[in-house]
Amino acid sequence: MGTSTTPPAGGDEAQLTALGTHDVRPEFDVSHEERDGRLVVHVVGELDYHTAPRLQTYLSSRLDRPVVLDLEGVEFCDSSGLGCLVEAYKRAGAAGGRFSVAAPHPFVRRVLELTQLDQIVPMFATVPDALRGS
Amino acid sequence: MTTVAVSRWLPAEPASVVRARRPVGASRAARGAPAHVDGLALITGEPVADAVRHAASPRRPVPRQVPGGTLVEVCDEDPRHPVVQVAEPSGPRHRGVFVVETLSSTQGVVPTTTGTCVRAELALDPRNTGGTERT
Repeated sequence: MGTSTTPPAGGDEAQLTALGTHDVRPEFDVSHEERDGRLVVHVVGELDYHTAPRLQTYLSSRLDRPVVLDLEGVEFCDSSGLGCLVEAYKRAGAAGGRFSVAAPHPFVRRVLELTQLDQIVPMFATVPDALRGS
Repeated sequence: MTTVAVSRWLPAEPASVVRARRPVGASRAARGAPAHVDGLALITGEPVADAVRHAASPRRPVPRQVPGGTLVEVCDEDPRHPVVQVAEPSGPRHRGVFVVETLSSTQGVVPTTTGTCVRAELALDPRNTGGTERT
């Protein structure tokens, strides 16, 4: 027994409509490790309106110590993701910790620069750079 | 054979942001250049997130190739126009419309009989077609 989708494939609209029936849960995972007395939080997936609250919750109880957020696995970040980074930075400051981001993809870095958040949240090219600088 | 009826409208829930964004990035109109695809995903996802944030159901966006770029239109039935709000430098919110306006070569809001459409065009310029940018 097969499954067909209406309307039939035909232009971009039909293509998108068909794609829209797929499971579209954003790829997202977050984990952490202790390194040199600091917490390195690894994020993998898309940081967006759907997933940013999960990262914010994950970080919220861990910002009383130096935290480096490893963005190497983040291929997409929207304004909700940016907001999560700013919030973590502010909460870390209030809790006596420090917060920085490391290894952003070129497009994520560009969005951080466009919004001038690179002047607020410390940003490093690599996690080791962040560990040395944090 | 099972036929799946597909709505042209997305539900007003967070998952609709990726429902709208991911197919747009995979579409022919995205033209495959990584930075252009990322930009297109961003200028699509932001207005969809804004609609969902205001409990509106956006119409499934469809990108269209236009001379020199790609046009995305996100329509919903909320008559309120999105406005650029000045984000506090260290504030967590109000950057979505700014991001769309900054990335887009042209951008605007068009009233419809039932709501509004946000239109944004992403130019195919060297910065947005940097095929080797992502490693």
